[in-house]
Amino acid sequence: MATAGGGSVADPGSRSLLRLLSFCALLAGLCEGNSVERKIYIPLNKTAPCVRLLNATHQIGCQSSISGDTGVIHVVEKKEDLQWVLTDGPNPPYVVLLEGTLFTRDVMEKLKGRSGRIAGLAVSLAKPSPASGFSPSVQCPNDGFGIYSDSYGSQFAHCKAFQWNKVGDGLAYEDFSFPIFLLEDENETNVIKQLDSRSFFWNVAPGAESAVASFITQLAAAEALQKAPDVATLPRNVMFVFFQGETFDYIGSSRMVYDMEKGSFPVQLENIDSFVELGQVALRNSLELWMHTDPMSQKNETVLNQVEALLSTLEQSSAAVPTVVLRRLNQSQPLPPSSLQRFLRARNVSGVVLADHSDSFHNLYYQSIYDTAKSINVTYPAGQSPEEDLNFVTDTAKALAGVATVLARTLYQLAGGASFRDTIQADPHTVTRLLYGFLVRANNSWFQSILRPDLRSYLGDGPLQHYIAVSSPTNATYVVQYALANLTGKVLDLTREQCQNPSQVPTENKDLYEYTWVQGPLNANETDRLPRCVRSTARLARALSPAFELEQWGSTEYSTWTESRWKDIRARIFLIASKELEFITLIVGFGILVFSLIVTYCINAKADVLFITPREPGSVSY
Amino acid sequence: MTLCAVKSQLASGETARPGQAFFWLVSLLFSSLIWFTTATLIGNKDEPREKYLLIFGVLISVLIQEMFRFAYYKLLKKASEGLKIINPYEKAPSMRLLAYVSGLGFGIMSGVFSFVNTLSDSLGPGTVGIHGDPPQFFLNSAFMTLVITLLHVFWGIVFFDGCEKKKWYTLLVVLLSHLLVSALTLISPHYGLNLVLAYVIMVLMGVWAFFVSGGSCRSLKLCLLCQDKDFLLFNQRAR
Repeated sequence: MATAGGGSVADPGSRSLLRLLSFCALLAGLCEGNSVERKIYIPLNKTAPCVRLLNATHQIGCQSSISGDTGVIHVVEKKEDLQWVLTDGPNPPYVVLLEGTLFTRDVMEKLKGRSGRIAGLAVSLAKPSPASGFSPSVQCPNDGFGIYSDSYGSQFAHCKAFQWNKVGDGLAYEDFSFPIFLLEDENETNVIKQLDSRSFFWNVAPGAESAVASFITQLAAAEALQKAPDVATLPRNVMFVFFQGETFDYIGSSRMVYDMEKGSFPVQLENIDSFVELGQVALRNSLELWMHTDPMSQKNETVLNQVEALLSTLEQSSAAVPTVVLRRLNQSQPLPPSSLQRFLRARNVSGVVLADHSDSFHNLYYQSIYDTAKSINVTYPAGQSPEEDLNFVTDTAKALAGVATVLARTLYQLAGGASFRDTIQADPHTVTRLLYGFLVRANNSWFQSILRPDLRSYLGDGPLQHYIAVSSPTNATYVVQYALANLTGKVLDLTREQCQNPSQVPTENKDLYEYTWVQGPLNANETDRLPRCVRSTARLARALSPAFELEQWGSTEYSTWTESRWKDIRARIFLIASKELEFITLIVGFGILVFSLIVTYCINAKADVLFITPREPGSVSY
Repeated sequence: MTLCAVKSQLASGETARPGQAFFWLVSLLFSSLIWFTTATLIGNKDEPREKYLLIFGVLISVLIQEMFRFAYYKLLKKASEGLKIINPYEKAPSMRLLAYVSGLGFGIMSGVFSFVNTLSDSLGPGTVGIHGDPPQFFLNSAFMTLVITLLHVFWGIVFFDGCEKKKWYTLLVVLLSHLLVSALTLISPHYGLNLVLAYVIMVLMGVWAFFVSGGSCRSLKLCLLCQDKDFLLFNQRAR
């Protein structure tokens, strides 16, 4: 930004001075903390963008122009308002501010069709959540990457029998050429589903019903099983696995199966006796929990018998749990989208998926921004402090604890135990604390006590997000790992140095166990923490799709999902000057320039006349 | 001959301009140092304190600018006396011309600094107004910059003349009017009032500077009525 800093460049001294001046002027222009900028722009802070995701065959999501998009804001509160944006408005392009209830497929199709007139879209969160449901996911999730294909179980492939996600409109898998933002008025985001979920918007993935409730139940079951007295001596091992990335064509489970086939996982496929998976379990109708099995693998007699044994074990375990009623399904129904499908692709294991739905999902907000604590009835009475909320046992927590009890007892029996089965009980307090931490407020005393000191900042004041993201592990992964370690591990009496170097201690084995130095609970005065060493067998394994390791970029066998790169994604609002004002400013400036040139020339020409210098006496010649 | 003399005066005057501009920069540096140390000494950041700090900063800045103007005058005086000793036959640059260019240097630098920030923001897609400020913000800023630049020119002329003729009240008037114009900018919402008052002061200063530089009502009338040719005959310059 060059400005005039002095007239002539008669000599080098003034030239360098001029350079200095111009440089200072530039610096002044680049000063931050600019109050003029604050007068012009209002930055939108609480926004979540929709980003570009790509896989082997498609690109989905949204994209802006390289230097951003600008448009006139137009609020669309009802369908009729769209006409202005699409055809009538005289000043395209427009940035549409869309009411959350109008964020549906047909509106988006219309906007997509006229994308020349649309510079961008901002969606406001609908409060309350749309009653009829909202799911931008497809109706048949993870189709093509499960067991059913045109060559195997074709009558079940592509959800021919019925659609699992009836409410799904597939918006999240569409390709938009303009940027879309979510305006979050309040910090309500829920993310859940297996470990991970997604929504239309980047890093907003609540997934309460889709994933969180399920893995919390599994954590509670792990804790309950751990407490059984003879658990260490059971003939078979129980391995609890939490898969990440299942939303994106089963990244986690496909990787584990691949590792098992290659032999780089400690357990081989043939060593899997049975597989019990928790699907969506928080929205049970009248206590019913459905047991889904795969009809195709049960065509084999052996597998059929194994599955039958598995189902009857489950039924026996639930007999003494009044809050859970297990139900079987008939053989003509396929498995819902689940990690078990990837294992069945590789080998006919006997497996069952427990879910709250018999056919289509009960979840009306599958993989959407509305799948929050409220959608699974996790609500707290008003006027309580966060600590009181943390320890308040909701009905949902009790229900999930019942499911966890059934699961734990089943696993105990499948592992070969018998004597203590009916004493195994999942703790509703654990479940409610996990629900609070994952769905309402991650920064609470319990979560803080189970994490390492350097991970303290991972806990925010809102719920955790469960979008898998490219950088790993995510915050949620760490929290689940440490929760599992805390619930199933043992507190040891080691110092910090010993905990970080357990090979120095003769009784400890670094290869068998994982040793972590965690923050621990607050002391009595609530000023400091009492850190301790926790020994557990909870480990992380990288969930990177085998397609990338094998460099099969066009693979249809493994997930090939990637994120596009971006720098800064932000939005701001401002006014633009009217054309009249701009014209006036230009004319005035130009006029003053011309006027000043004329005046200067005239004064300069007549300087002798105008300015009489004082003369020495005697020189007057009049 | 006359033309050559004017040309040499212009050449030396134009080196004076960046020099004075540099002096203005240094004065700004000093005043901002003082403001910064005061700000850190005071410490906390509550609203009225910030405002008083700003007012204090502006006052100090005006004082230091005028001090530097005086310092520059002294420097130029010493330089021209030195030149006279070295080369007594060369016509020394007229102090009036030096006053004009030094005022112009001061004014340009001050204008640039106050306006370039606003100018760079005006290049963006948005304009002022979303928080309720008047949309003519950029026009107002431009006019304010213009009036400040012109005022600095006139102040320079008047100031140097006052120093030459030892009329110290002149310096006081310059200082006070500078303070007044700066104080006006602090009551920012009323742009119209600011601008009108500043322009009034500028016109007054301009008239004073005109008379100080040797102009008179008569010469102005003659100039405007294009009777200057006759006038020149009456006012032959001594060789």
